[in-house]
Amino acid sequence: MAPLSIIAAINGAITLANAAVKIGQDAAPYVKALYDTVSGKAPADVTQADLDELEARIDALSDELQAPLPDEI
Amino acid sequence: MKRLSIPLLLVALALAGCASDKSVLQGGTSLTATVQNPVGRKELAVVENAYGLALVAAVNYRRLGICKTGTVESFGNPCARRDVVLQLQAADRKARSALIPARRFVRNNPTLNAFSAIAAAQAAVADFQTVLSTNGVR
Repeated sequence: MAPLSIIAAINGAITLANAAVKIGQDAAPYVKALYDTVSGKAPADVTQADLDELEARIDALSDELQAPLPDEI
Repeated sequence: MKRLSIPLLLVALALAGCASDKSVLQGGTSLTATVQNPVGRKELAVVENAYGLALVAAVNYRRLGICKTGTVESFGNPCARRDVVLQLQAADRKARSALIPARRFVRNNPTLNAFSAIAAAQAAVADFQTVLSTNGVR
C-alpha cells in the first residue's frame, strides 16, 4: 500500500472516530436521562410521571427517525 | 406427629406474614398481603428503556446523513444507507404501535396485570434490536 493511501485511510478513520464521538456526546443526555428515570427504583416507586417523561423523550427520538428521507442524490 | 406439624407450619407462616406488609411474590415475607400489579409501570419502563436505547442507536446512525446514490458507508465516507434507515423506520413503527396499547393499558389500569400488552411491546422492541444488530448499527 502506498504511503499516501495509508495516510488517507488513517485520516478517514480519524474522521469517523470524531463523528462517533460527537454523536455519542449528542446521544448521551438521552441515554442518561432514560436510565436515571427508572434505574434503582422499586417497582412501586415508578410513577406515571416517570413513564410520561420517558415516553416523551422516546417519542421525540422516534419522530426524528421517522422524518421523511431526503431525495436521492 | 406429621399431622400436627403441617397445621403448625401453616400457622407459623401466617403469623410471619402478619409481620410484613409486602407479599412474598414481591420480595417480602407476607403470604396474605395484596399483590400490587405484578407486571406494570416498572416493567413497561424497562421495555421503554430498551426501546429508547435502540432508538438512540438508530437516530445516531441516521444523523450520519444518507449515503449518496452509488456510494456505501466506509471509514472515509461515514453515512447511513437508505435501505437500512427504511428498515429501521419500519421496525420503529412496529415497536411504537405495540407500545401504544401497553402504555394505554398501564395508564388506565394501574392495578391490573399488563403482562400481555407489555410482552407484545417487548417482542416488537426485540425485533427492532434485531434489525439494528443485523445491520451493524450500534
